[in-house]
Amino acid sequence: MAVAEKDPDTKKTTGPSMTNISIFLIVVLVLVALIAGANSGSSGPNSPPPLPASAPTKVTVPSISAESSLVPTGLQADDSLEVPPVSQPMQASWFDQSPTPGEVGPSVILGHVNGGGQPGIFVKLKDVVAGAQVFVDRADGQRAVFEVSRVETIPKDSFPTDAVYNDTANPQLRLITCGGDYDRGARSYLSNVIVYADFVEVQRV
Amino acid sequence: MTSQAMGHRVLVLGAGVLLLGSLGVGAASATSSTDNTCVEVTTYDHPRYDHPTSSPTSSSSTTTTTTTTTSGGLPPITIPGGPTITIPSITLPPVSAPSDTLQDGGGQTSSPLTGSSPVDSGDAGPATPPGDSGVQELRADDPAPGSGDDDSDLDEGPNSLTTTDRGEGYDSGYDYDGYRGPRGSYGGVSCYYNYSVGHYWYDHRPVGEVRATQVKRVPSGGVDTGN
Repeated sequence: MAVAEKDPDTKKTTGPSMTNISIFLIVVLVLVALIAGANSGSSGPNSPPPLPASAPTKVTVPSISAESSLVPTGLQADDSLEVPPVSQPMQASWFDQSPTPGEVGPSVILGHVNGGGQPGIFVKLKDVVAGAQVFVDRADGQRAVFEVSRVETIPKDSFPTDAVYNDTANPQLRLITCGGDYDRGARSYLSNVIVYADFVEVQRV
Repeated sequence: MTSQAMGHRVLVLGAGVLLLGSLGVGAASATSSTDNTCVEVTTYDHPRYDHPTSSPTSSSSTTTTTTTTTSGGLPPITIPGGPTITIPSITLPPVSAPSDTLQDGGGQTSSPLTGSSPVDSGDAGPATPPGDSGVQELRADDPAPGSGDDDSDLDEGPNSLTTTDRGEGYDSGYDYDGYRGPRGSYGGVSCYYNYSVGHYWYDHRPVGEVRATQVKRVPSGGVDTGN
């Protein structure tokens, strides 16, 4: 029968075609996977280039209407963080052993939650949410813009030193104040509120 | 079913397996540094990369990269009862930032779970990448292990730059080295790895096992900012 008499060369021509298709498929899929992996990686390349050192002069957190000039503070004799005078609760400070905001690394800014019976500059810091912006003006006339990535309230006795102070790949910002329960005997809050933010933009002041 | 037809089916099946594998590579390279166990400690350009003032050119078709590509060709596929198929190396088209060119050439591309570094099977000691004498000694200014000298697509030649050359020593490919996965029996995660895309390198280490050097003096304890 004619149907049974297939051309024996038919399969020979089909084979290479399927092989080519398979190879092409492999190439395309590997290409897609590699590009997808490259573009969805770290935010490093998408961030603005780090800024040179320049002392910060002002911090602004619009979402909680917090704005303060910045004074440098260091460490106390017991190696704990020095904070602005409690008599000036609306004064924020920059930890002068940390990178300046916009430099690579975690820049640390401190503010009171209250002091002397008055609310402090960061009394509402716990209400900041991811995605909120934080502005830090610098002495060189540039404003480093940060975007909040997360907010934590952590007991002071388990303060996340590594997460706050360890090296980072890009400029980052930490805003720290007190929070959680208040120990009336010790006249101290038991926790710290920590805001983590990433460097996203540079503006001219 | 003839052996040739079976061979074709095997080939198509192989393509599917490669798809899943390659997607796994892509997903692995996208590992975020925002989780609570791993932290991206360094990111740096190739030291000799000259950033363009405008959008980067999309070509990096230097002789070096082409040569490298051939050295990274895929192994031949042998189908039982069928022909041996040799797949030539794959040259990927250039892409825009972050990398100018992605190639499968000299750079190793492997899943984190199948990386070449030893898996830490103990509870205490961290996994250490080969050649890394001390994880905590890795700093931003230290080249990551396997990040440069052994990458065959580095242009180490004495030739002067061309209009498309990023500089001798510019790493145009993707590379990965290290291990990220379960650690010990208590559910911890080891994440000693670094990877590169184009001229960017990313080093990851576990939180708590990285020294702070950008902060000149690390305070102790929490912060007392209220009373």
